[in-house]
Formats: sequence, C-alpha cells, structure tokens
Amino acid sequence: MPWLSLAIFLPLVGALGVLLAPVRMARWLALGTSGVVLLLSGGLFAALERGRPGFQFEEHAAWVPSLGATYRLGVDGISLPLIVLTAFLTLLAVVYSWNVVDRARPYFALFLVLETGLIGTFSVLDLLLFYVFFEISLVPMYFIIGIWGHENRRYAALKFFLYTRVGSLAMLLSILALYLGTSPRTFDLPSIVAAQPYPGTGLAPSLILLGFFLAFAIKLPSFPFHSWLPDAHVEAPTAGSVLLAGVLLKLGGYGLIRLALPTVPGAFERWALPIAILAVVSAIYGAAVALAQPNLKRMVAFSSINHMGYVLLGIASAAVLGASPEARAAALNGAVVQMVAHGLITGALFFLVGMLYDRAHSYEIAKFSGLWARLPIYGSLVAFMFFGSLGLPGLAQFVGEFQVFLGTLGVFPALAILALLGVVLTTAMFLRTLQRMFFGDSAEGSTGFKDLDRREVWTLAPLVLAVLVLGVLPGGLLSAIDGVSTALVRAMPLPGR
Amino acid sequence: MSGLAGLVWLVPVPPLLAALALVFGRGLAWRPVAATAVGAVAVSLAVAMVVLVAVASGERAAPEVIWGSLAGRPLVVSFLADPLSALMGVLTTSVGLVVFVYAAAYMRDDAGYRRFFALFSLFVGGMLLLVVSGSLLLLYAAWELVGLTSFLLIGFYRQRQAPGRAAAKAFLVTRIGDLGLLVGVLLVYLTLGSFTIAAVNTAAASGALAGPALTAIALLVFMGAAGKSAQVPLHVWLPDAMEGPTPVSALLHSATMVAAGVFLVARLYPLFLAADSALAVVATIGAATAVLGAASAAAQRDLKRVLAYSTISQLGEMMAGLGAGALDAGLFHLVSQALFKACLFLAAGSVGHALGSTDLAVMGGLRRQMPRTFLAFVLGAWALAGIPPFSGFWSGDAVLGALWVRFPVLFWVVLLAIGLAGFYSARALLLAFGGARRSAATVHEGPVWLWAPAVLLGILAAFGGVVDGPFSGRPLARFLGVGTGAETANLLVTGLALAASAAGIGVAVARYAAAVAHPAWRLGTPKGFGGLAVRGFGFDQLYAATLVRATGVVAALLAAFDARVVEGLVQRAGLAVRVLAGRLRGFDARVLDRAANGSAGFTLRAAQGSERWDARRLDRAVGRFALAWRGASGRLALTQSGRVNEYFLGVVLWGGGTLLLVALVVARG
Repeated sequence: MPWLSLAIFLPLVGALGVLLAPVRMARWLALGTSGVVLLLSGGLFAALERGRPGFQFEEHAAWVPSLGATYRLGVDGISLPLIVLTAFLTLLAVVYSWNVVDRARPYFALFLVLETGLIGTFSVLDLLLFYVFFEISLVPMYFIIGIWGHENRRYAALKFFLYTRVGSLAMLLSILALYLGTSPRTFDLPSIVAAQPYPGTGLAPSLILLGFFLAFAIKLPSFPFHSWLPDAHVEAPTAGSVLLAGVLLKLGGYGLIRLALPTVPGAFERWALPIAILAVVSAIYGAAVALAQPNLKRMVAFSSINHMGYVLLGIASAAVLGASPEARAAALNGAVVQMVAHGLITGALFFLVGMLYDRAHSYEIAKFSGLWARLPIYGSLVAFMFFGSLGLPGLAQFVGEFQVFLGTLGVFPALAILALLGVVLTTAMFLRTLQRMFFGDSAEGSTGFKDLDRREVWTLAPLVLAVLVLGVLPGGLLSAIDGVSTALVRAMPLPGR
Repeated sequence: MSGLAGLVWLVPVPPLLAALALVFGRGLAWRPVAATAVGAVAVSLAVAMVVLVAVASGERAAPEVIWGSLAGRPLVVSFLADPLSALMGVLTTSVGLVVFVYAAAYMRDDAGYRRFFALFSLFVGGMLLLVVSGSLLLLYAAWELVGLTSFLLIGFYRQRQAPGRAAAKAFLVTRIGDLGLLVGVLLVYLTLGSFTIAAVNTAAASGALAGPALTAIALLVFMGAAGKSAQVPLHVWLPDAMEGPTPVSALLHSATMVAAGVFLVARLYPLFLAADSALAVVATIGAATAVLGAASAAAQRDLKRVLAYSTISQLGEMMAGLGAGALDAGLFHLVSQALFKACLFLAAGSVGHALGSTDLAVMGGLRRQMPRTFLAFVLGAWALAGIPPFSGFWSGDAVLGALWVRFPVLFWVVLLAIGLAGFYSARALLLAFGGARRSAATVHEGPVWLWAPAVLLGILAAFGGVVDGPFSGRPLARFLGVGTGAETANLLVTGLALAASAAGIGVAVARYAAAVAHPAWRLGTPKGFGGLAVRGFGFDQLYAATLVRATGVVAALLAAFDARVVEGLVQRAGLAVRVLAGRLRGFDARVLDRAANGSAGFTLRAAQGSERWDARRLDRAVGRFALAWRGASGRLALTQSGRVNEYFLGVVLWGGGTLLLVALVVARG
C-alpha cells in the first residue's frame, strides 16, 4: 500500500468532501479525515523499524524523467514524528474549532489542505517536490490568517506570506544549484547526498547553504528574520496559531536537517559557529523580548523564538564534523525532540490563550488576575504547559533541551552555557505571568468566566498526555530518532576527505 | 534475608501513586483523602525500614532499567540502596508520616484538602525519588519535581498574591542553582560517558576524574545544592517560602526540599573529597550562611520567620560540616535539625492555628493556654539552642569538632552562629510563651492531632542525639563507612560550644525575661544593625535593584528595539519591494537590484558547473514565473475583499498554477 501517499492526499480528498458536503456534515467529515490520517501516521510510526538506517515506506514513481524529478517519498525517525505531530495537531485544531460558524466549510477545508502540504513536505525525498509542498503549506495558512484572523489580519497575513516567499525563492535557487551540479542531473535527494556535488567550504556551497539558511531561518524563525511571527500569531485565529507554531515553524528545522546538513556538510561546518551564535542570540533575544510583552499571545509567540533557537543550536552543533559524533548525535536528537515537544506544548499554549480570549476577548496580561482560583482546571493546565515550556524534567521539552545542551556542551561549551541564560529568562517570564494572572483576587469582569467545557478539555487532554508520556517515557521516540541521527552524523564526511 | 535492599526503588512509589489517585479523586471526602496520603507515606516508611535493615546488614543494591537510547548508547535509569539513601529514606518518610498526620488535622477545614494532599504526596514522592536515585539524570528529574511541587505548595493559597510571589521566587532562585547542577550533570556525562552516581564517585576516588573538570563539576553540583539548601547568596527564597500551609513549611524546612542540597553533596561526597578547593568553597559558604542566617533570625518579629532564618543558619552549619570533611557530622546535623525544626514548625503552626497569627508581638504567655504546644516547642527550642543532652548540641558539636581540625577560622564563625542560635531560640521561647499575654484574644489548645505530632517530634529531637554522640562511638560514621572529622571528643571544642550557647541564652534571658512579664511591654522595631538583620541584610533589595531591574530594563529595551528597529527594517524592505514592483526608481530599489544581480550571478556560476545548461532558457522560465506571480498577486489583491469562495478559488488556482509552472520549467529543461 502507498501509505505515505494516502496520508498526504487523504486530507486533500477530505477537503473537497468538506467543501461539497452539507454544512452540518462538514466538521464531522473534517474530524473523520484528520482522525484517519492520525491513525495512519501513528500506525506508520509504530511500524517504523528502529535502528535501520535509510528511509522506510518508500514510494517511487516517475514524474518528470527528462529532468530527473521523481515522485519519491520516504520517511525515517526524523520526519515521521513530525508527520504524526502534524496529524495530531490538525485533529485537535478541528476539535477546538468545532463550533466555528463563520464560513465553516472553507475553514475546515483549508486546515485539511494545510495538512496535505505539511505531511507532503515531511515525506518527499525529491527537492522539486519538496519546494512544491513547502509552498502549498504556505497558502492555506495565508488564508486562515487573512480571513479568520483578528483586526489587523490582512497585514499580518501578507507579511507572513511575503516573508516566507522570499525565503522559499532563495531555497529554490539553492535547489536549482544542487540540481545543476549533480551529474546526472537530478532532484533526487538521496542521489544528491550520495554524489556530494559541492564538497568543501568554497563559495558555491556556502551560497547554497545561504539560500537554504535564509529560507529555513525565516521559517523557524531565527533572529533577525522573526518579525513576521508575532504579528502572524497575534492576528491568526487560535487553531491557525496552533498549527503555525506547532508545525509550520518545524519546516525550518526539518529543512535544515534534511536538506542543508547532508547536501553541503562542508559549508555547514564552516558556518556552524556563526549559526550557533545566531541561535544563542535568538534564544536569549526571544526570551528577553517575550519577558517584556504585555500581550499574552505575543509573549507565547516570542517564547517560540527562544525555543526554536535551541533547535537551531542543536543543528549547528551537529554540523561540526570534527567534534565527537556522540555529542553531535545528541545535539541533533535534541533538536528533533525539541521540535516535537515545542509543537505539543506551544500548540497547547496557543489553545489555552485562545480559550481565554474566547471568554475575555483580550490578550492583555494586565487585565487578568486570580484566574486560578476561579478556573481551577484552566489554571492548572496553563501551569502544566508553562512548566513544560520552561523545560521541567518529566515533560517532553526537557528531553529535547537536555540533549541539545548536552551535545552543544561537547561542541561549543561557552555557547551552551550562554544559552542557559535563555532558560533563566523563560523561567522568569512564565513564573511572573503565572503569578500575575493566576494568583490573587479575581480582576473585575473576570468573575463570570466559566471553567473549560468538555470540548476544550478534549482538545487539551491529549496534549497533556502526550507531553507527559514523551517526558517520562521518551524511549519510543528516542529510539526512532537516535538511530537516524547517529547514522546521519557518522555518514557525513570528515573534513579533508 | 537477602535481596531486600533491591526494593529501594519501591520507596517513592506509594506517595507518587497516592498523588495520581488523588488528582483524579474528584469529590472524595476528607477522610479517604487523608487516609490515602497518610497510608501511602506509612507504606513508604515500612519499605524504607526494610531497606535500612537490609543495608545495615551489609546489603547493597543498584537496580536499573533501560530508559531509552542517547547518541547510540543505552540510557539507564538506576536506583541505589546504600547507607546514605537508606538513612535519608527513613528520615524523610518518618518525619513525613508525622507531618502528614498533623496535616490531616490542619487541612481538614480547607476546601482544597484534596489538592493539598495530592501535591504534598507528590512532594514527598519526589524527595524520595531523589533520595533513592542511582543516576544523576533521575536525580535531576526528581530534584526538579521537588522544585515544582514546592512551587505549587508554597503558592497553595492562590487567592492571594503573596503566595504566588513567594512561590515564583522560590522556583526561580532555586532554578538558577539547578541549571548549575544541570551543567555539572552534563559535564559528568561528557567526561565519563555515564550518568550513574557510582561511576562519578568511583572515578573521583580513583583519580580517573581529576583536575579542572573535577573541580568544575563539584562546584556546579554545589551550585544546585546551594539553591535547594538555601545557601548564601541563593538563600533569599526560603524566608518567603512560609507563605504555604504550615505542614508544608514543617516538611520543607526539615527532611525534604532544603535537605536535598545537603544530601546531594553527601551523595557525591567522594567528588568533593577529591576537590580540595571545592570543599573549601562548601565550608566557607556554609559558615557564611550559618552566621548570616542566625543574625537575621535573631532580629525577626514573626515566629515562622525566626524559624525560617534559623533553618538557613542550620543548613549553613551542615554544609560547613561537610566542607570540613566530616560527612557524618553534616548528616547527623541534618537528621537532628530535621527532627527539631519539624517539631518547631508544627508547634508554630499550632500557635498560628489558635491565634490566627504568628506575629511575636501579639503573643506572650502562651505557656498557660497552650501547655502541650509549649512542651513541644521547649523540646525543639532546647535542641536548637544546643543545650545538652538534646540532639542539636551533639550534632553541632560534631560540626564544630570537624571545623576545628580543618578550618580554624571558620570554626569561630560557626561558633558565633551557635551562640546566636542560643539567643534566638531563647528569645522566641520567651516572647511567645513566656511572660504575660500581650493581646486580649483568648486562645486554647487545638485538637490532639495538632499538638501530639509536635510533641512526638520534640521527644525524638530531644533524645535522638544521644545515639550518635561522641560517647557512643559515632555509630553513624561507622554505618556510613566513613572516617569522621573528629574521632574523639574534643573537650575544648565542646566547652566552647557550650559557652557560646549559654552566652546566647543568657543574653536573651537578661534582655527579655523580665520585660515580657509586663503585659504592657511592646516588641520594639529594630533599627540600625537590627533593622538590617530583619531584612535579611538586604539581599532582596540588592537583587531587586540590580539583577531584577537590569533584566527588566534590558527586556524592555530589546522589546522596543524589536518593535522599532527590526520591524522598521522589515517595513523598509516591504516598501522596497513595493517600489520595485511599481517599477519606480530609488535607493532601495537599487539595493535590491544589486541583490538580484548578485543572485543572478550566482545562478550563472552554478550554470557554469554544467555543460548543457542554457541560461536563457532558465531566464525565460524565471521571467514567466515572475509574471505569473505578479499576476496572481494582483488577482489576490482584488479578491481579498471578495467572498470566501473566491478566496478558495484563489487557493486552487495558486496551487495548481505553481504546480503547472514547476512542471513547465521542468519539462522545458
């Protein structure tokens, strides 16, 4: 069975169905489709053979043979967790959006189209196809922000769109250069990696790296390419924010790992230190700016910049070919786990922020106090995710940050210690927010709020469970990732060869 | 019986399960909730006793499970049954059990009793997990679990701001230390390739781990210990931490949270023994903490604050003992302090319960209305003051004996702290229970469960110390299998300790005994040095004025930078694009042109790499792409005001268009 194709295109079919179905049926159809996709991807994850190098569940078909572009799919322990994450968050976005009445059919359809784009991006092994899916994932989000967003949605949507476009065009140039440099010419990623058309650290590989880096640093986002993110988040509807933070940002980290790291390893190593420094700056900057935000949603958005900084730091450390393979593998493991964990935790945080907005129609931190005593379930879930986000052991994100720090300490010790400053700032930020909004007497106007209803609890409970399970028993995820990253760092040629 | 030491992993399980059960035990009445929590700790105590007996008969165990894999290596989580973990397991569960029984009565009328016991169980479970950990990774996780639950317990009364602030402060300050510990743990793994405690201790003892790496790891670990065990300069969270319910303070200040740091140093003691400079740091910080805490305690006006600062001081003494190379002295003091401090906090809670306040100014004469609480407090205070034969005397003496040999200067510092302990113990006793009543409120003894646990702990505190006195051959040192800093009793040291305590008590009696006899006497507001001491020597103000403010300012500056400069650049770039798109001339456009030329050059360069490439064809393709793109953008702008169906049409067109375009490029290639 072409399982991956099924996972990619089922949502697209579902989207068509949603558009054509009667309004009452639309959300059920969306729920069913995303549920099946989750089962499918979860099944693939369970069936993934651990410790086997290379791609699995591969599909290969001719597409444009004259160009060496093929329809090639395949996943491994790095991409499959992100696919499951996508399916998981899409399903929860549908559950959360259950009562959307404003143009519900296109709304649900767009989320399904987005799912197709994202799962496609994580599954393809052909660079041209990668570009196509990368772009496809951009469009639905543009409309989700632009139509269902808040007051300033047009501006935010356009900014998001243009920003990412600039990056993806740079990526296209790099892809073309790789295509042209490989003989015979091909867009096939494994073939390009095997051929290593641009070895060394010269100008050409550096420029190719630059193209990739621009595209993916914008997507992550890393300082100074981040300014689309806070606007996009603040204006996006809740479910849009969840997928934006939960999955779209991961395209950046994934692209760096899948495309940049193996195709131009020499250049990546050469620029690893500056990239790592940028990552640390990003981590500290994101945390510090988040600390100063009066707007809760903006704060969570900036905290993403901090967390994705660790992803970039892990990848940069993994790129240093001369360092200990164990440290590099740990750093890469950490980057992947961090992406999954951030997807779950920050996804949940955006749900939670949205639930508050649904009640109070405000994101202003200063407007709230004493929420915990009023809304015990809500308060406890926020606290849970806050602590998850500040890297408490036993919750998913610690598993990622721990390994990023472990690996980085073995490669760039000073940077690893500097990066911890970001952790202190994040801790301060979340604790202060918790104290201001959740302790004390209830603020005026917040007395009428109801605690979470069943739909909301059902949206969040799976995330709580996932964060807890990945934090306490990360073995299943780690075993999938670890084999691939160990093989990846060992396969990368040593300098001088 | 053999193999029982291997049960050590079971010790933390009952409270953790109880916590889980209570989280989901919605609507449970007080009785089953309390029974579950108390029962779980009792079961843990039984298991810990079994382990202790097994360990005492010479058994050792290190059960382990494989948790996952890390960079190709299996990640092992292990537990450890040895004298240290067995001793701490029994201490934590026994003090825990008494405090839990007390808490069952104390929290009976609180609507949040279920939440309280769920958290309290998790707190104790976390501490026990920390104690029995055989791997630093598991230890660190448990360490943070203790931090989390202490946050939730200190902030238990969430309808007020102050507990939230105290809880956040506790978590943040201890976390700064924790990050040091984390780096230490990571360094251990990077140097040894293992997280197990046994591996670290073996490597340190054998010299395999040596030099700067050893010292760095020891100091980083101590950073974590200093945070949890409230050592200067990370001690500022502890005085505020009493915002939580009294049973929390009683346990947090005795056998759990604050004990964790001292335990950690003891756990990795071979590491410290191998690093002389680290040991000296531990001793110096410990001694400084001891005297600063004691001086602050001596000036406090609130009974619980006296006890809180006293805890800081006692923790300093423990660290000083460990730093002086006397593992048994430090641990002995840990045990005796756990007993008498839990006793004192429970007694203070009983007073607070009856009086509605723990302000010393409104007390006085409570010995008549609350004789049983008074009895408990007297036992605890005597032990704290270092009066023989109560336990604090013996353990304090052991610490001093070790310091006398190793750090003569620090000896005098700690001696001063011990003298101050005599003073503030006697002062608190006199101000709370002595003399005449200073307020008209009628108070009376609470129910039996509010005073009996305190009395029980008081009795243990009073006479438990004899067990390990210098005249009983230091059984603790033998049990732990270590040499002691002071094998034989040093009569000079003992004499000096007694004199210091007596002097402190004497000063307190001279100053307050007669005064408090008058109901009209008022506790004055301390000024000058006393005023400084009340505020804990201004650490809070210092941090607020420097670190906290600087962080706030920098964060605000960066946020402004982000809003103005970064955003401004983006706006400029956006403008530039628009200008370019409108084919207008201007500087921005020229810059972009150059960039475009640059990328075209790059494309050319790439093109040169291949023989068959026709640059013009690419140009044409790119040009067509750009045309289509501009057309699509224009259509987009038009449709934005339109209906959703149009939007959707746009998506389909755009997606299809891109696909078509790419196919076109590809086909022509």
